[in-house]
Parts: sequence; structure tokens; C-alpha cells
Amino acid sequence: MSTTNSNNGTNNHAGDRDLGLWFLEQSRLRSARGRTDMDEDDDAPTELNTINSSGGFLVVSPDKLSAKYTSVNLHGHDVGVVQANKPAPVKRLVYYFEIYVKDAGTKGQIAIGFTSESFKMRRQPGWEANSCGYHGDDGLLYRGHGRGEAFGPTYTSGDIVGGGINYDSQEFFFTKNGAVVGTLPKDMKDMKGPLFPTIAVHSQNEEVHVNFGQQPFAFDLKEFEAQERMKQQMSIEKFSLPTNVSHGIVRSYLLHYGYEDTLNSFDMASKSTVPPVHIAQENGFDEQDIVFALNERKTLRQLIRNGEIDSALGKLREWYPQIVQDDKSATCFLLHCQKFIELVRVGALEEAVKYGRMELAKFFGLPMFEDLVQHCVSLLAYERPRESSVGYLLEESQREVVADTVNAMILSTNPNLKDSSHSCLHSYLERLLRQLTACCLERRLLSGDQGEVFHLQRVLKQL
Amino acid sequence: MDVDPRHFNQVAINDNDINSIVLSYLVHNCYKETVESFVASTGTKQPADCIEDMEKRKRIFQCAVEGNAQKAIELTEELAPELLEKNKDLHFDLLSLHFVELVCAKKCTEALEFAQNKLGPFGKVDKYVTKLEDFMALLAYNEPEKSPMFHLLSLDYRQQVADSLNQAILGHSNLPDYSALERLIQQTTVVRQYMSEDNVKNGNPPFSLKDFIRS
Repeated sequence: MSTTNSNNGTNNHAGDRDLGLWFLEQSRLRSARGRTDMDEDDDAPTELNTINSSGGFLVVSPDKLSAKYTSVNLHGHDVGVVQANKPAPVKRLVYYFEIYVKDAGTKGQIAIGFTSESFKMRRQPGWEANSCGYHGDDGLLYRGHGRGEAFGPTYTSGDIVGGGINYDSQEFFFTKNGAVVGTLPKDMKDMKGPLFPTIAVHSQNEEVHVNFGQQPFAFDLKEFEAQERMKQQMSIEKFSLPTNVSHGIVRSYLLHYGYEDTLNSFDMASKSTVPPVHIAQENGFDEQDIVFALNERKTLRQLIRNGEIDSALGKLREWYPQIVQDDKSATCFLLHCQKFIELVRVGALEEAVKYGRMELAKFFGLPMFEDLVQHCVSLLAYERPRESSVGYLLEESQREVVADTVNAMILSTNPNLKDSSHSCLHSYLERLLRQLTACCLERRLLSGDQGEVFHLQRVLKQL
Repeated sequence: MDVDPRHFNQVAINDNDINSIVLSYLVHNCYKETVESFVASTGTKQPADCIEDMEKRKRIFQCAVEGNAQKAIELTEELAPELLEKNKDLHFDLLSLHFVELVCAKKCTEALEFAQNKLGPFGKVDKYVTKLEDFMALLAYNEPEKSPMFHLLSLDYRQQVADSLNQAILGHSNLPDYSALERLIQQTTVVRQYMSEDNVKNGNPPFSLKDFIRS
């Protein structure tokens, strides 16, 4: 929680500044945050690369989606090789492409595979280091040297052969006419760096068409991806949880945010279930810090959610004066802004202006507060503020921010507080989710930043 | 990997997602009044249709856990007709609960008759044969609690069957058959364990959900 920017106000309320400012920062981020793309993806290959292909030995069609061998196959260094124009994208579960063997020519020495950027373009993929290739004439898989391993069937004219990278299992896989023929572990040590889908032809009249996804594949890629995701899910499902962990997490969520009525319903219902749910002390849930002032927090949350800011301020002055003592604190700031917003909401614009002059003006020019103040004030400029770029301020979510701030501040006044800012900010549930997100990000990083990006939404939707 | 949760503070979590997660737990476990209160207090949108069924599901669940399998079956037929037909495994498990109830009540003749009429037909299919044998074996003991199959009489077993039944009913109404919360906790633990594998090799203790919660 960085508070390095601000040096406003006195130093006495260090705790206050930390917590209040955290929520303020979240509010700023919320307005700045656009919808990030669900699938941030790097570019995928779309056609063959005519610039670096072994030009003397093959010719690429004008649409850059097929290649034909033009030389005479004399030795092992006159292979007609061509790569895709871009490397295989990594920020996804699987990458896949296919070739259609139009003509296997005299010797059927076609190959499909992946090669690194610096590949020697006169050799079959797989014959050199940092490459792999599935060859049609012998059905062998070549991986870095001239001796191939038994892998799959041979293939020839009329066959559709595909090559793919499964980032989750870290494997290459190849298909023939819609069925997987084999897989190969993708060693992190060799084949590092961007890998280019590669095709090769090596005897007279060989001709191959390539499909980078512009046409439907013979292989059911969607089904394959679905199955891979299922596998992941199943390995997770098998994991058994300690009893009542979920119950404890829900309960502490309700406690943390002061949903007293809901909590009471929950507790009552839990007592009457069969078997009755034991309160989860044995699971390590420490509720001490969050039981504090449950009723008061509930009351304040309700007031703020209803937009009754004056009443909320009144109650705070009565019950927790220390929180609203410093009028320049982030907490007071958020409350004043919300009051201003509520006045705009009901159309009391003159009053809003007066209030703004009285309470908000002092925040202009202070780095942490400036953005929000400006946004609030600019609400006045619109006839229909809800539809403006600052319309987000009029949403429920903005009231929630204020309610959450006040909630956290009250929790922080607990004289028996064990761990200062930590337990006040987040419930267990959120900590768990943050941990999950962070872990998934870290895990991706460890696999060379490959594989699907973790999105909580995607997980929720899958359920 | 560092356990310090403070490092995760920068990760943003959407409030709506959190509320959906809590709600999914409450719906899954039939906390009807709690759902209503939660929706009112937080303004979360309540998924349609789930309320009335919750009461019924809850009753069915309770019947199953108490071992009152016949009632559970009856109510299930009412709420989700054909569900048990499509779900033979589940049907068998429920019938076997009733059988166990009869055995425990020492109504051995009745139990035998019931087994022959209702459970026997399942024996035509291989996978039920072993299960059937286990259950029938209970009859051989004066005190079935002391038999090697005593777990079939346990609360845990009944709870397992009740859970499966609950999931089946949810699935039948096109609701997810497990709560998002459970799945997320599982996922977190699995991923965390995966991450700490290296740490464990260096002699650190493996990830423990309990410890994380305490931290």
C-alpha cells in the first residue's frame, strides 16, 4: 500500500491516511480502468513468409498460403522451407495450424513443424537444433537432429496434417485428418524463444496448402481446448477441502463488511442444518478483529447506501470522532464528495455548488484528491450527468467505496486489533482471490509467460 | 513464493464478482432467507427462479441426510421428475440408504424384501454388483455397526449421497452443480501447492490452506 505521494495533513493519523488513501486510490483506478480485453492476445500468423524462405527451392503462391517445390532433390540441403509470417502466439491455451498435401510429388518428403527464428532454411524442420518436424515420408518425428523417432503414420496427397503447441501441458502435438497422432514434450531448454509454424517440401512437384485458421480446420480444435480445460478442472475438483472452510469464508465476509442482518439469517440457518455447521474456529478463522462494532458498521453502511451522508457523518461524529476529526483525511474527503454527488443526483445544483465551495475546494491541488474532486465538480457541467464520462460517480458502486472505507476505518479503531491495516482492508475471501490471481499470474510467468491469462470472470463463467 | 498477502493488495477484484461468489454458495446450500437478506443489503442481482426451489431442495437434502430416503425420493420425483431415472447411480444410492435404514431398525425381513425388489434389478449391471454385495453383507451381522462396512451407516456417507442429490437437482434446473466458492478455494490451493513445490524441495513446509487463512 504505497502512500509515498502524499504529504498532506499531520503525521498523527498515519493509520488513517494509509487506509483511507487506499480506498481513494481504488476509486481513482476504477474511473481510469477501461474494460481490459478478455483475451489479450499477441498477433497470430496469417500467411507464409516469402522473405526468408529458401527461395531457390520453392515458390510461394501469390496469396501466400501455398508452396510448391521447384528444384530437384539432390541432397539434404536443398529443402524448400518456409515459415509463417509471425511466430505462434503464446498467450493462449493452444496454438494450431494445418497443411493440406495437394501433391506429394515424387518422394512425398513433406514436413510440418515449428522452428526458431534463425533456422537454416535449407533443411527439414527437425533436422537442426531448435526445431521439430513431423515428416510425411516416414511418419517420424525429428527433433533437433537427423535421427527421427517413431511417431505417427506417414502422410501423402490428400491428407490434412496439423501441428500445434499446447501451452498448458507444454507439449507439441500433431494430427492427421482430424485425429491426434502423437505428442512431444516441449522442453524449455531447447526451442526457446518465438517458434514459427513451418512447412517444407523436398521433391519434385510437391505442393502444400497451409491454413492458419482462416478456414475451418479438419481437427476439432475447440473440442480439444474444451477437453484440456476439463482436465484442468477435474484435477482441481478432486481436491478435497477441509470441512466448512467455505462456510467460514462466507461468514467472515459477512462479518467483515458489516452485513449484520444477513449474518444473523446465516447463523440461524446454519444451526438448523443437518448436521449443524460448527463455527469454524478449528479451521483457523480468526474472527476477533472483524466482530468489532458489527451493529454500528451495519448502520453506517445502510445510511451511506441510501445516500444519507449527513446522517452518516452525524453518527460518525458521535461514535467514532477520531475518524472524522481530520477534515483533510481521505475518509472525510470521500464522505464530502459523496454528499456533493448526492446533491447533484437530486438536482439541487445550487446547493451542490455551495457545498463544493465549502468542503471540496480545499482539496484542489492536492495530488491524491485532485482527480476525484475534478470529476465531481465536472458533474455540474452536464445536463444528463449519468451519461457523461463521469457518470460512474452516480452509480451504486461509488457509494460502496465510501461505505467500505468507513467500514475499514471503524475496524481500525478496535483497541484490541491484532494486525493493523491488514485485516481491516480485505475479507478472507478477497485475500484468497487475490492470492489466486497473483499465483496464476506468477505461474504463467514461470512458464515463460505462455498459456492463458487468468481471468476470474472466465472461471466464474465456467462454473 | 512469498506468503505475505500484502503483496497481493495491488490485484484488483471486482465487488460484483465477490458478491456473485458469496451468493452462489448461499444458493447452492439452500440458505433462502440469507439469500434474500444478502440481496437486499448488497444490491446484488438475484438469479431468477432459484428461491422457491431452494426450500424444496433443502427439504430433500435434509431428508437424505437424516436417512429418510423414501421421503427424499418422493420429493425429488415431485420437484424433478425423471431425474432419478436418468441418474441410475444416484437412484441406487438413495435406495440403498433406505435399505440401511431398515437394517438399522432391525427390520431384516423387510430389508431383504426391499433389497430383492428394488436393489436386485440393479445387479444386472456389473458396476452395481460390488456395491450390492457390500450392502447385502450388512444383513449378516447382528450389529452392522461393527461390520467392515460400517461406513455405509455413517453420517458422512449419507451426506455424500445428499450432496450428489443436491448437485443433480441443481444441474437439472440448469444451475451450476457446485458453488463457485468451493471451486475457487480448491483452485487457489492447487495452484499455490504447485507454486510451492520448489519451496518444498528446499525444505520449506508445503502450502496449507489453514495457515494461509490464519495469516
